[in-house]
Amino acid sequence: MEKIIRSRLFQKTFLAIVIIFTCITAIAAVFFSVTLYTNVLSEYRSKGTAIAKSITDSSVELIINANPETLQSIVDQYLEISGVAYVLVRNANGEIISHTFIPEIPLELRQDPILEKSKSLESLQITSLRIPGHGPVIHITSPIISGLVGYVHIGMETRSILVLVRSVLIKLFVIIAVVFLVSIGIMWTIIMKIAAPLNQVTQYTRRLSVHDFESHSPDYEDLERLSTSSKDEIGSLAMAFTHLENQLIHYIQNLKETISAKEKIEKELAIARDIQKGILPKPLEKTKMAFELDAFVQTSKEVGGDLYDYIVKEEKEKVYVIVGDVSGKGVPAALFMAMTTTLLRSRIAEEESLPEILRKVNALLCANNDNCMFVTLFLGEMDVKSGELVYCLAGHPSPFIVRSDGHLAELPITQGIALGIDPDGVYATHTLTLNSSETLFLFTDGMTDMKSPNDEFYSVTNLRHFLQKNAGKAPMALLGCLKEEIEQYTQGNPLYDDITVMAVHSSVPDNTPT
Amino acid sequence: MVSILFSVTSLFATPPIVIGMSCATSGHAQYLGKALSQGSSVYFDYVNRHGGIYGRPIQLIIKDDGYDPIRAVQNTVWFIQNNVDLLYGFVGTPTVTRVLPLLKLYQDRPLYLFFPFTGAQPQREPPYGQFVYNLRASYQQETMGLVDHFVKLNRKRIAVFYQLDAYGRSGWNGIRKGLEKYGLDIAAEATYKRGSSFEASYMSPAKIIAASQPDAVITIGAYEACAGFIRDARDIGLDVPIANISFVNSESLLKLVLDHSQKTEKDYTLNLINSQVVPHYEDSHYPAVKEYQELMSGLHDPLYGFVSFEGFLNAKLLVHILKKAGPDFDRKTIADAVQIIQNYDLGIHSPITFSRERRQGLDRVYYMTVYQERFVEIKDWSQWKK
Repeated sequence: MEKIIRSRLFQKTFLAIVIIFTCITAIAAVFFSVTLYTNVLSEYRSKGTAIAKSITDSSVELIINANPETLQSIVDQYLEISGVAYVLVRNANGEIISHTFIPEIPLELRQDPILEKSKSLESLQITSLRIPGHGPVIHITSPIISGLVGYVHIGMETRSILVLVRSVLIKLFVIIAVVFLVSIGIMWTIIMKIAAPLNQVTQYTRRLSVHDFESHSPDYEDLERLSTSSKDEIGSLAMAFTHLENQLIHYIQNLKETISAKEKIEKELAIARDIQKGILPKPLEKTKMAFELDAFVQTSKEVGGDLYDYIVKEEKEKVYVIVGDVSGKGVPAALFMAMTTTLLRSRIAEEESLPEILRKVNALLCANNDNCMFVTLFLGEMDVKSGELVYCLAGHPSPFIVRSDGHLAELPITQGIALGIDPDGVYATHTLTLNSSETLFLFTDGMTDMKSPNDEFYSVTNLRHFLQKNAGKAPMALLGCLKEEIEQYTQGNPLYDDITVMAVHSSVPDNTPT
Repeated sequence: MVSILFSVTSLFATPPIVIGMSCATSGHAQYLGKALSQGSSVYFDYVNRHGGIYGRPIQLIIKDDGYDPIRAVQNTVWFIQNNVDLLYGFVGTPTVTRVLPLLKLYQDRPLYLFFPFTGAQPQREPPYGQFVYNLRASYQQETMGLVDHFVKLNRKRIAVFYQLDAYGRSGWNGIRKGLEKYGLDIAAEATYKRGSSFEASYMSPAKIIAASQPDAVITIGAYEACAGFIRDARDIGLDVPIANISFVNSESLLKLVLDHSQKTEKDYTLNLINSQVVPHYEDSHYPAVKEYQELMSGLHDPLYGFVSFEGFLNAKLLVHILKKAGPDFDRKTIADAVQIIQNYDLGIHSPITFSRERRQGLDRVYYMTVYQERFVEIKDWSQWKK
């Protein structure tokens, strides 16, 4: 009940009803008062006139025969009529021979106000007077045979009209109050009928907000019943809520399934990442050969399509270095990368020439390559002793030769497109010699394509500046600084593409004349 | 309520003479009706015990009107419808004046009213006088007698306190006429509402009257209001003679005044005068008084007083008329029987004569005052000489 009273709906409706009833009461009160007063006043005048004429007619003989007892008896009868304040009869001499005043005739009537003005009256006259004890009265003076026998005076008490109006108004107010109370009762019932289901819906939504949506909420069935039993807006609202709940349950179930599937995939991706990590070579162990090498790969996803590898053949004092970039990203690229790495390793083990290695690997990759994947690749074979580097660029960006004095040089491009595109692809090599003042810097396009938070590419220009700035650093130090550079440039934002870099430093003395 | 006096009438084989009496046996004026009917009944019973009227018993039907004119009219209609032989002993001016037109209406039957307990003029004058026979003197005679005495005592400023109805107006008119003879006018007048009690305040009318500095006051009212007025008038220091007339019911008035005197230890009975239309009911040198006392003594609860004595005298005269009407009495012959009454003495040394013109048996007014807490007839007025 208290909830209803505090309900805004109830307060607003109550206020509206109060305003309506106040207006109706005020209008009705004014209308009834004025109409009733006017009508009754008119009736009192008419009644008073009739009484005056009646007494006038019946008192002729009584006055002539000097029979005041019977006259008084007649006069007394008229006093019983409602509205009659007094009756007073004068004889021809103006003496009051009968009246109805207790205990005495008021001073105002000892001389008749009408007769004072006009000594004789031919016809009935009406005036207004204020008589102590009676208030305002309609004073009627009726001559008996033109005043030759006397005069009859009747006072009609208008105060009683006000009393009547007041009593009618009180009745009106009582009736309106009863109607008001009944209206409030009806309003109460309607509000109860509206508020109860609204409260039910409100309670339902509150509980819904903490519901887990594994199944229907406890109030679902009640609300569903409400949606079918109420054919109004509340029923529609209830129906909308039950529909919402059903949709939410459906979506949340889908979401859970998706999350579960994602978790499963992530788990699998984590395994794949571990496998991919396993495919990548372990950090270079100490070797008797005079060269330094460091590399890293940062994938934009769990698994990436970039690859690097190095195969050391100590007995021949050779080292093969590989940096590649598989088209696309994610698992397909990772699988393609794994396949490429495995194929390269197997071909390198056969100690074939670089063009032959690439030709065979390309042929294998092209076979059954329905998804048209490809891999750009740098494959180099360095003679550690002499510093001679034979390499082949299969569609891969040209690496830099970073000299310790900060000079940069791009490696010349060799013939041959990315592996996996043309099964008949032919690959040529180029040869150069690295010395101890030079570091071979290999990278994939993820390095130059990484973006700042402002969506700006890092670009080859920045890379060149970095390399110039950090020229002379050993591979490990260089790549350490590069990791910081990447972190700084991306501000921790996810990478757009996989980044793979490799730095190879030969220990062959620089014989270039200084 | 109807009470029928028929205690011994069942012994008679002949039809009774049925008499209808409307009076107050309840309300503030009930004593009047009870006392008047008791005084009448005691005599009718006596007559019935002695063979009735030529063998016909008198059956008195008493209907209560509570001193209300409308009920009195209703009672009269009932009597007419029930074919009573005559109406008798109606009490009160406002009641009787309202009943009078009915008598005229049924003049063909005819229907006469005998000895109403009122001294008003309408039943003594045209157009209704011919249907009524009165025994008592009129209020005019009572009031004019009082005025005569007061004027003789040089008390010329006479005020009047009266009941605002036909009764009061009748007394007021008598006083007015009485004063008119001497070229005087009423010094002051004040009214009260019929049925007012002793406990009500009468200060307002007492002050109105006292303001006129009257030499005497005549009250035309019922005993409670008149006693209340006497109390309040004396309390504001108005000590002039206050006279009441016969209808006031002297015994009841005296009792109230005495009780109040006892309570306040102040004598409110001083300068009280009462006019009566019958001799003192204890004045045993009247044979009628002896007869009255003897018959009343046989009652269980006798209401001795002027009223019951008047009722007794009324009954005695009616019986005499009925006897004069002879054994073939009917409504039409009774008027002739009344005319036969010439110089008949009821036993109060006042001969009664009726004729076509004279329809009132007694004219004498008796004046009483209070002496040693009892009403005594005034022998000497000089004590009030101004």
